[in-house]
Amino acid sequence: MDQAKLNQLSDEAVVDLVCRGNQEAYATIVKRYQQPLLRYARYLLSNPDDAMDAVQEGFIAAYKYLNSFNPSMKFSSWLYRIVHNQAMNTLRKRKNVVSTDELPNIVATKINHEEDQERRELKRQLDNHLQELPTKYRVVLTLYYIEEKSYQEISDILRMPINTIATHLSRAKSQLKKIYQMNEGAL
Amino acid sequence: MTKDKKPDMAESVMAKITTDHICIKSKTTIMVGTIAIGMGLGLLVALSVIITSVALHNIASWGPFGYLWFGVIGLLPFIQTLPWVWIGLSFALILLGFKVLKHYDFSYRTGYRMILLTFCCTVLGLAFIVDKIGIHQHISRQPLLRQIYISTGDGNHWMSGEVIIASQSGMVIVTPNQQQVVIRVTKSTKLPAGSNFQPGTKVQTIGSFVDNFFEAEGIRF
Repeated sequence: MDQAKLNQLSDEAVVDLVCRGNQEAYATIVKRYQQPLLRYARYLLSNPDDAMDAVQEGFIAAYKYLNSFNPSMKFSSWLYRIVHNQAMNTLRKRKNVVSTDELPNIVATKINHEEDQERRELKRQLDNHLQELPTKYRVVLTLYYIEEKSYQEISDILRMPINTIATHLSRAKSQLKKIYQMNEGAL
Repeated sequence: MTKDKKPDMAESVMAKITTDHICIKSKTTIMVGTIAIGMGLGLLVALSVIITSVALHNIASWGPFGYLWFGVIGLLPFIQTLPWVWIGLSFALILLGFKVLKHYDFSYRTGYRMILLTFCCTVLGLAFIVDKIGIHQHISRQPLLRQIYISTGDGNHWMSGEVIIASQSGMVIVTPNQQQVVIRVTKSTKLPAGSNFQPGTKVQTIGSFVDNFFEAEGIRF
């Protein structure tokens, strides 16, 4: 099957092809998700090399366990989950958070002008102060505002109840606002 | 000005898959793994129930909470007779079971608090039933397994057991560790529950050994 046709297929259909022996079709999955996953991993790890390793290892782990993918879940959530675990393992090993200087300035370019005011404002704050938040809040905020995942998808990725996601998001926003106000006041 | 080069991960991932001969795990392998984890969880639950029921049984027979009735003086016997090892093991197994359960999809959709509560209640309920059925009485008669039920908390200043002989001046009791001890009642012995001890009554006492007799400062039943 040529690349143009593969590109038109859904994730699940491509996965089905790979599981049936079309190994090369997996490259389509990698191409589709490498950028969003790298962006997500960079926000978690603050280091492009570590992010690259985590995503690459994630893709390979996902390939090995493609047969365990549960179609009742979104494939993208499953893939994010795997990369999230890889990133968390790296964080645990490292146990230190790198400064925000290494963060790519992705957020500003992603702002869609049709998005609501709150989302845009929070994205701006996120870009500046995300690394000052604890990991559990940073993860939820990144997934919700940067990766634009729904509560259900975040719940599937982080394996947390939706209520917990909502609580973390609310607390994260409140902490972020405090950090923002403190920094604004200091200027 | 430098421009970020977007990495083409597809090539490197596919190259690694090919050169390292990475294969997709078969559904059978994954299913075997899932079944093994399920069986492990089942065994973990069974072990949690057994350990918790031993803890409950030992609490019932050693009666640590009864010593608190004596006031501050009863604190030490309470701490020493509480089956800490079994309680600790029970907590550890329940937490381990909960951690394993957390990896199942249903758990995060249901909510962890509910899962933990349900798991604790299930283990405690089953442990209570196991204890009430009388399995421990049976096991405690087996020479090899008796050690599980022997209190390590018997001290020189407290004693508990069942009265086998009773008189005005004292009584003879059998401790949970099957030792016979003569308890001497003096004028200063506090007997707030009265002194009408009958054979078969379970008593707890604090005091000290004097000439091979346990001179009671207080007795309750």
